[in-house]
Parts: sequence; C-alpha cells; structure tokens
Amino acid sequence: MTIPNTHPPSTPPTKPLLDARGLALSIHQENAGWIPAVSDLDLTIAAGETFALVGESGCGKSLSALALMRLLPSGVRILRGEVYVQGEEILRLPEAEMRKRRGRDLSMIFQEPATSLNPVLTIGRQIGESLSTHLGERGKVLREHAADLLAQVGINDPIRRLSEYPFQLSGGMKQRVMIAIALASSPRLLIADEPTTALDVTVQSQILDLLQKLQAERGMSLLLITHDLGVVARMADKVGVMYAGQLVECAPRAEFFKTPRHPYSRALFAALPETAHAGERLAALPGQVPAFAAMPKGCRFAGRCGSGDRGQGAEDRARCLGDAPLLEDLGGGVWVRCHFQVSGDSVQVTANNRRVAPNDELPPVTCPLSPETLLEVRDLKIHFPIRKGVLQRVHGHVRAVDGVSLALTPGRTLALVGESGCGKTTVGRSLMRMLPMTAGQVFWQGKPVAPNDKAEAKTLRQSLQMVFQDPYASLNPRMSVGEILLEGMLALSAVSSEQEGRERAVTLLEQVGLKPESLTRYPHEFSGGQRQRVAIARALAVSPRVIICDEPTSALDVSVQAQILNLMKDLQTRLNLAYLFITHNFAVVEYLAEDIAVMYLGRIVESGPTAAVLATPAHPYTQALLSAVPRVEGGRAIIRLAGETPSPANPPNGCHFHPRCRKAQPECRQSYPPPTPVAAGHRVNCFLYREQ
Amino acid sequence: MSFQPVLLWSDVLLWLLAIAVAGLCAYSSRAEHLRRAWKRLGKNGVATAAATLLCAFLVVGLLDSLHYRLRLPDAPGQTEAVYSVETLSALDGLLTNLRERNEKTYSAPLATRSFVMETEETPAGITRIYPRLNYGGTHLEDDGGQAADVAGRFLTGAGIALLCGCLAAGLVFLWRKRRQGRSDFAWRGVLSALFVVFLVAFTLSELADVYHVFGTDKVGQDVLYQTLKSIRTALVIGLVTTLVMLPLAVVLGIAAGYFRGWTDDVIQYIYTVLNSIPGVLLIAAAVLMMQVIIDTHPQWFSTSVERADLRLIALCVILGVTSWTGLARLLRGETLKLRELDYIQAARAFGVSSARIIARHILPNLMHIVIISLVMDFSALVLAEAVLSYIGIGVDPSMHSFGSMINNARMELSREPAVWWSLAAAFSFMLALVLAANLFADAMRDAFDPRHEG
Repeated sequence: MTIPNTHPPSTPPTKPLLDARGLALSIHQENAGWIPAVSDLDLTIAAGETFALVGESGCGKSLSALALMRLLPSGVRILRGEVYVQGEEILRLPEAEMRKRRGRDLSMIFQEPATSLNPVLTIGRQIGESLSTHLGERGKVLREHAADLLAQVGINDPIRRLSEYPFQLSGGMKQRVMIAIALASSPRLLIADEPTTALDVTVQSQILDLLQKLQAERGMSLLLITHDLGVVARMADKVGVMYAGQLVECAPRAEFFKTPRHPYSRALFAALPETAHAGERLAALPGQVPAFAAMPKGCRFAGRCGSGDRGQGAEDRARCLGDAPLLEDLGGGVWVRCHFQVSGDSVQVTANNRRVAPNDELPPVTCPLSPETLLEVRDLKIHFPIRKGVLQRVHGHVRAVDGVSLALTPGRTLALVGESGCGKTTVGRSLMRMLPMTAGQVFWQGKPVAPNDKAEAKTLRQSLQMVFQDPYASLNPRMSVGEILLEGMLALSAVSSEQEGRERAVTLLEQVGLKPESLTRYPHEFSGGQRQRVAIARALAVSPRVIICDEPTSALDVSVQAQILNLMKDLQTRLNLAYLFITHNFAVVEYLAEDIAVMYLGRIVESGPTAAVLATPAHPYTQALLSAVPRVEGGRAIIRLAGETPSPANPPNGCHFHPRCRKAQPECRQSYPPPTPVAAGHRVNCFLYREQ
Repeated sequence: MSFQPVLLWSDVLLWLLAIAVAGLCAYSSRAEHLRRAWKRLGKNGVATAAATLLCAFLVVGLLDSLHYRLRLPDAPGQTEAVYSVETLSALDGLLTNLRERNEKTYSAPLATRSFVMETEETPAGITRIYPRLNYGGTHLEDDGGQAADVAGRFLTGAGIALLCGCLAAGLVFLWRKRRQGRSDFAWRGVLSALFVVFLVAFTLSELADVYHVFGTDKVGQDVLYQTLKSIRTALVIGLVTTLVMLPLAVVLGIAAGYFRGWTDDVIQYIYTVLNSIPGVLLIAAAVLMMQVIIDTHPQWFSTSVERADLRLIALCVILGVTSWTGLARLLRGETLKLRELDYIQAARAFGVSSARIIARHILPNLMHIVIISLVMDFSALVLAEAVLSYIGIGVDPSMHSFGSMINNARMELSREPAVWWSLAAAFSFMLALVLAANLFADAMRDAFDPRHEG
C-alpha cells in the first residue's frame, strides 16, 4: 500500500484546526493477525467548521475518530500518518501530554448516553472531574461553573440536577449532560460519534439545535460522525463519505447534496426511502461492505458498483478491479476516489440506479384484493400494575396502551408511528398474545376473538406473525437456520413431517432471496440483512395473513434497509399480506405504508392515509414530529416541543399532549378529545378540528 | 476364579462420569458452536498441558476404582469359596510393593535408616542408634553408596522418560504429517505435560522399587502410596459432587429465571436461606448424623471399605446440596436476560411450549456457563475436602485423602526435628491437581465465552 501523494482535501488560508494526513489503522483479528482497516485518511477541519463523516456501519468512521483522540482499543493500532491539531503533531506526543490535550483541544461524545455516564456518580461529580483536571477549579467556583454548563446545554434547574444521578434523567437529558462534560474544558474540536442515533426525532432535533447553538457561540469545530444523511444536510459544512476504511468523497455540503460524485454516495442517496416514490422499488446496493480481512485489491467499491455513467466496458471494469483509485481533486473543494467520477455535469442521480427490474422470477400469487378487514382491534388497553410494599399491593398502573383501535386489511400496510415509550411495541406484542390485554376487543375477519383465550390464541398465531427489530437478537445463535425455520412450523403443526418442513424451508429461503444451502448454516455466518431475511422467512413459515413488523430495519444500514424494504414489498404483493409496521422512521413509512397511525403516550392521536397525514398533518404532535425529522432536502421550519414525554404511569389529565402543545386550550385539560374526521379516512383526536 | 469383583457406589459413579464426559465430548463434536469452542481450547498450549495432567490423574483415579477381593486359600473341608475381607483396587495390585512394605514408624524420604532412634543391645552394651529400615535401601551394603545409587536410579528413570517422550513426539509428528497440518491443535502442550508425567512416573517407579521415595508415616506406611490413593478421593469428591449439584442448580436456576413469579420467589428463598447457614456447620451436622446411622447399622457393610465408601458418597451429597446455590444464581440471572431476547419471544409467538423453549433455546445458550463453573467448582471441592478432613468431618479415617494427610501432619510438624514429608507430598500432588484444573478452567472460560465468537 502506498501513501498517495495527494494533499489534504482543502487548504484554507489559515492553519486548519485539525489536519490528519495519511492516517492508516490496522486491527487485529484472531486468525488473520494484523490487517489494514482504515487507510490513507486525509481530513482537514477548519476552526468553527462542521465536518460530517458519513458511512455505513463497519466502514471505520468511529475507529478514525478514536484514533484522532488516541483512544483506540487494544486490538487496533495506528500504522502511520500524522495528525496535527493547531499545527502540532499529536500522534507522537507522550501519553501524559496527550491526556492534557484531550478535553482541552479535543473532546468527544458518544452514541449511547445511557452507558457513557457513570451510574454511581452524581452529574455534578462527573462534570466537575473534567473541570478540576483541566482548569484546576475547586469548591464553589467549580460548582457554579458546572451549573452554568448545565444551563448552557438547556437543562432547567441546574443546581438541583448537579446532585442527581444519571438514572434520574431521561435519554435526551443524559446526552445534554454528556455534551456539558465534553464542553467543560472548552475544547476547540468536538467529536460527536452518532450523538443522536439512540434518541427520538424530537429529542434529536433538540440536541442538534443545541450543538449548532454552542458551536456558534464558541467558534468550536465539530466532527460529526453519522449514517443519517438527513442529519448531515442539516448540520454539516463539509461532508466526507467513508467506505470500507477509505474516504471516497469529500465535498462542501451544497455541492455534495447537489451532485454526489462517487457511485457509492449516489447509491446511498438512491437507497433512501424518502427519495423514492411510494410503489417504486428502492435502489438497493447488492451485497455488503467487504470485510477488512478480504479487501479487494482495486477499488474497494468495485464489487457493488452499479455505476452506469461511464466505465461500463470490460477494459474499464478491469481497471476498477485491478487498480486502486486515488483521492483526486476536482476543484471547488471536491475530492473523489473514483476512476470514472462524474464531473461537473449534474447527472440525475437516482434515475439510473432505479432501473432495477422487479423480482419477476416467481409468479405473483393471484389473490383477490379483498377490501374486508382481516384483523381489527377496538379500544385496546394494556395496563401494567405497579406493585409496592411488602404485600405487593397494586399502587397504580402504567398505562402503556390506553385505548387504541386499529384495522388491518390484506395487501395493505398500516404504519404505527411514535417515539420510544409511546406503547407501539406493546400493541404489537399484545396482538401476538405475548402480553395480556387489560381491555379491548379483537375481531378476526369480523368475528370477535376472546382476548385471553388460549385455544383461540393458537389459531390466531398461525395467521399472525412477527418480525423483530434486531436480527442479531432474534435468531438463536445455537440453532441452524433449518432448525429455526422448522421450529415454528412444528409448534403450530403447519407441516405434518420434518421432511415436508425441510422442503418448505427451502422454498421459504428462496422466497426471501437466500440460497438453500443456508439451511445448515448458523446465524453468525450471515450479515445483518441476511439475518433479517431469515427472520422474515421464519415468520412466513406458518403462512400468516398478518405480519407485525417491529422496527425491522432500524438496526440495518441504509443500503441493506432498502433490500429488506423491497423484499417486504414484494412479499406483500405476492402473498397479499397485511403488515402492521411499527416504526419511528417516517421515511420508511412514506415509502411502504398506505395507512398511518400516530401514537402518543398510549393513544392514537391521528390516523389516516399516509399521503394525507404526511402532507397535511393535523394534530399538533404530528406536526412537531414531522418537522423534527431531518430531511435530505432540508428547509423545513422545525416546531420545537417543550420538555419530554411524560411517564405513562402518570399521564396528564385530558388530552395527553396538552402540557407540550402550543395550541392548548382550557378544555384540553378537562377531557380527551374524540376522534374527529378532517378528510376522507383522516381522523384526528384534537379539539382544534371539532365540528362547528 | 481367584478374585471377586467388588462394585462400590463411588466406583460406579466415577466410571459413569468418565463415560458421560466422553459422551459429552462426542456430542459436542457434533454441535457446531461447542465444536468451535473446543477447537479454540485446543489451540491453547496451557489448556492442553493442563488437560494432559488431569488425564494422568484421572487414569490413576480410575485404576483405583476397580475393586476386587482376593480368594483366600481353601481351608480343609471347605466347599464354598471364601474371599478376603480386604478390598483391593487395581492400583493396589500394581503397587503391592508400596502397600506391603511397611516400616516400624517414620522414615525420611529415600532414607535407609529409621527417623527415630532405637535402643539396641550389642555386645558392647546398650546403644541408641538409628536402625536400618526393613525395606528402604536394604539392597545397599552400607549407607555410604545411597546418594550414588539414588542418582543412578533417577538417571535411569529420566532416560526411560526421555525415550518415551521422544516416542510420543515421533507419533505426534507422524500423525500431523498425515493430516498435513490441517489442525492447529497445541500438541506442544500435550507433549511437554506428557514428558513431565513420564519423568515423574518413571523416576518414582525406579526409586520406589527400593526406597520410600516420600518417606513413611507414623505407622510406617509409605507416603507415596497414600498420596496416590488420595487422588481417587479427591476426584470422587470433585466429580460426584457435581453430579448431585448440577441437576439442582440447572433445574432450579432456569425455572426461577424463566417462570419468574412465585416459582422464582420460592427458589430464591431456598437458596438464600441455604446460603445464610454457615456451610461448615451444615456439613458437620449432616456428616455426624450420617456417622451415627453408619455406626448403628454395621450389618449393612461387609467390609470396612464399603463403610468408608458410603461415608464418602454421603459427603459428596452433602457438599452437593450445599453448593448448588452459586451456579443456580448465575443461571437464574442469565435466564432472566435470555428470556427477554427476541428469539425467545419469537418462539413464544409460535406457541412453542415452555419445556421446549427451555430445552432448545435456553439450555444450549447457558451451556458455556455450566461447563465453566463445573471445572472451576472441581478445584474448589477438592480443596473443600481437604479443609473438612482437616477439621475431622471429612472422609472416613481409614480412607486416604489429602485432607487427612494434612490433618496428620499437624502433629508431625510440631515434632523436633519436624516430619515434613507427608505434608509436602500431599501439598505438591494436590497443588498439581488443583492448578491443572484451574488453568484448564481458565482456558475454558476464554474459549467458551460467547464474546469470542465471531
């Protein structure tokens, strides 16, 4: 491997704050030894600038960030390269010197606020640690400074919060505290590694606002690591795209969103569900990111590149496969690592890649599209008792679900949308009879079903299946794929013999796009997307009519998400399935669902056809939620919600949303508004739309 | 037939366990995830060395678990065969020399003369001398050549060991060549441990022919013989106890974690209460009760060995009943975590029965914890036996064990000059056994840790 004789992507007139040149990392693997991971990473961040590093999981974004902090885990080491912070090389500094730099020059916040705070120390102690180390503050000065920092990150009543423990704070507050700690010593550069991925959209929007505000106030630089192009569009000045350990494109934001040059960047855009029109297939990238141990010799993206612009000939193909491209300057601050990059002419990015033929190998099953309702739930309530004291007496209820009505029709998808803790997953699980219903009626094809009856549960189970969020947790690592698929069939006696089950399993695997050989393999041999295919096959094994999908793509990368969404759509048309799609991702909803129901604190606040609800959201909560979703196209005024979602153990009186609602009226405190139609099929629970 | 096989309870259990372990290995070579873990274990040189050492101990223990009674010579007019009251084992048969050559009292390792002075009448008058031993070093004309003789015998033993070691290395080399290096099993661990075992075994056997290598105890019994006999006791305590403990821990631990609710409450109460009673007190009470029962029913036993054996089994049961709580607690916690996982939820969504979920989903995912804690408990139990025998509530006094050897050494150490060899022999053998088990357990924990699975 050679160090390219290229210069850092841009050379601003002043000395950049951070300048990494030719940074290369290698990681240790048990049976392969030290293998190169990140290579030839050139990064320049000017003072006050926001640089967004984008890429799918496993492409080396986080490793690179840790390398800049010199906080690499023991299995990773820096091969070569230089990192200048304010003109000073830091990779060769002694550790004691480097420790002083951390916090003062460079600071970092992590993805999961729940695990980055020490649960046994108070917030004050954790902020104070940084203050006393770097600024030598003690006693009253330190306490006041800490409280001041908490106030800066937007935490109310900072003095009281200082003596609280992390478990007393919500996720968004914890991330604010993390930011306060990172800011305590006034760093010049803040590295934020997926700072909002674990948070809800409304909270994400608050945190992004906060970061922008603080950055403007302090003139701080920000290295933002994310996989979410919407966040990039909102935050970044410059964008760097990483693929398989290399920077493949680096450009100013406007330029990048106008004309992404590298085929990979273009594929990323094409795979976004929000750029596609409903009904159209997503342009999914085939395959997956190559493993570091098996990196191709030529262009690392060559194996998945469907670039149709140039480089189609066999000769060009050979060049891509045999010759590793260098990061080349295209002028205007744009650097691309591709032999056949698109130059100035703006190519219609998505159109080319969208020419994927629908999967017509298997003939569509001709099912009459029956408009009749398959599964209907009316006024579903699920309350969990809170027990206290020696005698475990019931002291109250967590009203996880508090009156939800839904209807599922064959061939259609109903999306159940809401923030975490709103009870959407609980609805799904209780429909699967994994949780007892407290109240409510269930109708299967118009006939009422006894809610907690075991015999009926079994018949219903055959018609109702579930796909889970995390494909890594939903498959037993000790069972082969064949055993996993057979288990359900045998348990519900869907097949008479094991032999028949095996034959059926092979058909299922073909249906979800996996090879029959997979039958004897174990889950760990598959990638995340393939595992999710197995999970879908398992749900299909008993020929259900309804599939409840609990965030089936939120643990997957964008390109893999596109594969899975396409598959789900195909299966729906072929098998005439009804989907209940539980998600917090509006882009996916827009693409996949015909109907949508928005949940807030155990109740549905708005429901209707997806297009209508998304275009003209009626409920103030839906409006706020939609506005908070970061969009690639950007440019939407954000409605900021005050405070946090209240606890379902103690919901507000009247309309649950009124304490946070901008348009709250006195009567909102009195009673819960009934569903009011605003358009055909579009109903909203809000007094604003009362029939006059 | 010149002998009558005797099946002691502990023999049956020990052999069954050995077969079960072999069966488990066969099973795990079929189960993919376990096979990978074993392969990782096989790559670890320390682990293979420790395993080889443990195997050597196991061979001694198993040989000592084949019991028989010799037929006595027919008396005149006797019609039925009469067998000796003394129950011997295959190991006793091999070590007849050591077993029968008893001195009068203490003698130091490799000594030719007694450790204790005796009064002897000679024509010159009454003198106090250290008399020559009855068996130790009798082949020497006088004591002067003892050092040279010992060195010579040691070297002979070492030579044979080297020869056998080379032979083994050659066989391994040929085997690897045939497999063309397809496995990365750490043979160097096996070979080095094997060489140490050979070295100890051959030099000891060369020397033990004519000396008491580890000296003799108060009643003149060979200490090496006692030490070798103690190995079986340690193995029985370590292995049979797990047989009692394992079902309790696995069933109760998983039940508590999976079913929650009142099942969990009851099981938790039981093990919390059990844990709050001082273990030694509980064991002492149980052992004393057992002793009373044994003493009041002498008709149950035809030989003293059978009586001692029953007491050993009883000790195992008692230890097992008091020591399942740790593993059960561990398994309960892990089950609590597992039952919330999506794949268990998915199985429940299919209406799979609880028993099947436990057998197919939970148990296989707990197996690594069970295996690791079994191996770790083994060494703890061997040590526990030593402690219990030391305070007098351990095995039957007629049964050799590391604990009783150490217990005897208490008095011996206070003599002047001290008798140190009983303690030293018991200590070094027990150390070797427990260290090997601990190293093996350590390596197993690494190999079976699911975090290492790619």
